[in-house]
This record gives sequence, C-alpha cells and structure tokens, in this order.
Amino acid sequence: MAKTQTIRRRIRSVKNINQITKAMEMVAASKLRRAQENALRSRMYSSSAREALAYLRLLSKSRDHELFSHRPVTNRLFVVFTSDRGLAGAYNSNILKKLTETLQRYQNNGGVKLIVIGNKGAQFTGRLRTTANIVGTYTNWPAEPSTADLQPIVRTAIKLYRQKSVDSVNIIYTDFVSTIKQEVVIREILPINPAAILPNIKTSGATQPDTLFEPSPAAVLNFIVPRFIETQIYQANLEAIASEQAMRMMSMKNASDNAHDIIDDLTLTFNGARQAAITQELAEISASATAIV
Amino acid sequence: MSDKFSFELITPAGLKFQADVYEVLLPTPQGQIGILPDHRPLINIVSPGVISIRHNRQHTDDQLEHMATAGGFAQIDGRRLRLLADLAERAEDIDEFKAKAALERARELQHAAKDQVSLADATALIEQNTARLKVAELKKRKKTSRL
Repeated sequence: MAKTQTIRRRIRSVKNINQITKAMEMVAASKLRRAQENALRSRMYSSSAREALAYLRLLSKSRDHELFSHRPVTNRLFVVFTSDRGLAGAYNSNILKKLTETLQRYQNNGGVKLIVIGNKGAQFTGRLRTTANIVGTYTNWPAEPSTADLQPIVRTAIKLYRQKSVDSVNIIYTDFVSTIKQEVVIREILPINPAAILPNIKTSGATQPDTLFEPSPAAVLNFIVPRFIETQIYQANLEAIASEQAMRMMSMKNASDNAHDIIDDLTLTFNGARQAAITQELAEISASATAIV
Repeated sequence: MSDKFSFELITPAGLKFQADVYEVLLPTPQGQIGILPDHRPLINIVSPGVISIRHNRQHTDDQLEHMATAGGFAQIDGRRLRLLADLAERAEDIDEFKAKAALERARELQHAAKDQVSLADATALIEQNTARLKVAELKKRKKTSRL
C-alpha cells in the first residue's frame, strides 16, 4: 500500500514539473518568434554595413580615420553576450566555454579586457581568478534592446580602441543559424580587416581608387564608422537573444518530453503495484475463507 | 551605356527597395543630388529628407516615386547604388497625423533640450518627420493633379 502511495506522489510531482516546462516552452516559443523576426529583419543591413566598412577601409588610408589604424595586437577587448536567466540548455555554458578557451589563449599573450552582458556571464567572470580586466558588466538586459541600450557598450569599446588601451575589439555571441542550430562565434570588429570580410574583392578588382567622398573622406568616415560598428554589435545582440530563446524552447521541449516518459513509466509501475496489492488481498480473503470452511 | 542602374535601399527593417531605375534623387548635406546611370564612383552621406526615384527615362516628375528617409550612407559605382538608411518609408506607410504629432513633440523636445545629445536627437526627429510630411504631401499633390 505504502508503495502505491509514494508512486502516486511522484507521478503528481512529475506532472507539475511537466506543466511548468510546457509553459516555459510556450513562452520561449512566442518570444523566439519575435526575436527571430528582429534578428532576420536587420541581418541584411548589418552585413551590408560590414561590407561597406571593409570597402571604405580598402579605399582609404589608415591615417584617414582613427578607427582604421592598424597596429600589432597585444591587448584585446571581448564583448560577451550571455543571458540573464538560466534554463536555456547549453546556451550559457557554450559561450562561457568559448570564453574560457579565449582567455587561456590570450591571457599570457597580451592583456584581455572584458565587457560582459547578462547575469550568467557576470556571475561567471565574478568567480574568475584571472588577470582578465573586466571593464563593465551589464545585467537585467532588455528582451528587445534598442540601439540606445547598446550605446554605452559601443562607446566604451570605441574609446578603448582610440586610446590604444586595446588593439582589437571582438564580440563573442551565439549566432542564430536556425531554430535547431546555434553557433558560438567570435568576431573581430576592430581593426577592420577587409581581406576577411570581402575575400574576393582583390581578385575581382572591384575597388575603385578614384572614388569620390562627399562631403569629404573625414566627414564620411566620422559619420559612418562608429554607426556601422554599433550596427554590428546590435545585430550580435539580436542574434544572441534569438538563440537564447530557441535553446530555451528546445531544452524545455526536451524536458517536457522526458517528463512524459517518466509519467508513463511511473504509471505502469503504479498499475503493476496496485494490481499486485489487489491480487494479494484476494489471495488473503480466499485463504481465510477456506480456513473458516 | 545602359540606361538603367540597380538601386538597393536597405534599412534595419529590411530591404525596402530593389529595382533597376533611371534616376535617383538623394538629399545630401550639400543639397539634392541626382544619380544617373554610369555615375562616377561616389560615397556620400545622405541627410534626412525625401528620396525620389524615376523608374524610366520617359517618366515625368509627376511619376516619381518618393520615400522619406532619416538619412544614411550611399555607395555608388555607376551600375549600382546601394543606400544604407536608418529608415525609409513610402507614402502609403506614413500616417500623416502621427507624423504631425511627432513633429510637434520633437519641436517641444528641441526647446526643452538641455544638452547636445538630446538636442541632436530632437533635431533628427524633426528632420525625419518633416521628410515624412513632405512625402505625404507629394503623394496628395499627385492625386489631385490626376483629377
């Protein structure tokens, strides 16, 4: 009897968990839809902006703009996008694994500075006993950030690069490939490397050295370069948010499926135990009946 | 010489325009410029204002297609014009009353602005909404001229 009671209790608790994971799955699915729309919509703009930057870099000399200066890279800045909340599968651990690798690679090979977005990343870097220098952490990040939310990060990154405190600016984020595939990516934002962004421009001879800049090269570059850097960081954030929701949805779906399996298993065991108890009772009754007769 | 070139208008809200056209008029800090096929390579800042597109050589000014933009960056190489803009809206997408109200609010913001950043923001809003209203106005004028 006691056995059926405990099984029944376990079934009930698994059912409760199932309800929670199912609700979280649905919430994540609806958030994913919005996040996905946001990320896909501006993807073309940001990739065009990236190409335009590379193109401008090819057309102009490094002295034309501070952000175009090339120098040997010793200090690196990494902007890391993690989430505020957990229960998103391997989302945060994948990013933090990449971050750990990166730190190991570059720490003894020049300095590393970090800007961390999201609670999970902040907790992780808080525990780190390393020489990595944390420039800023941003937690309670909005679900649909605007470019204004990213302004402080962009401004800090550009300032550090200008002051030569860092020689390269990178972002670590999760690229949203599809609902079932997300990839952790490290992307170098500064210095701008045209060869990496436009691999076939040299061979195709598409550069036009006699290009005119209006009003003037300096004015164009001052206007465009910080803006397009912001665009790239913004896009990375949108991709990261879409990935987070996709991974949360998938992991909650797996949890719900698993809960179903457990419920089925337990129900089977429960029925078996109940049946055994009934059989035993019947056996006892008939045994006592034969004893009386 | 082909008599058309491809024009792409890309905004953070997606691809807003892509077609072969004959002429594009762009607002720039130095005034309006017209881009025709085989224009020399040019990289230009676009200011907030009205972009006008002439699809065919034979089209008159009444047949221009207008769009409001909040400014951006144009890359021109004779056969292609790629415009990266913060915003681009056709007359159909513009709510005139909303734009008018937004313009009023932006003017108030401009008066109340205490620092350079909020002043610049307010000014940008004013220019944006003025462009919207202008596009809506052009559309209306087109309708009445046809009557």
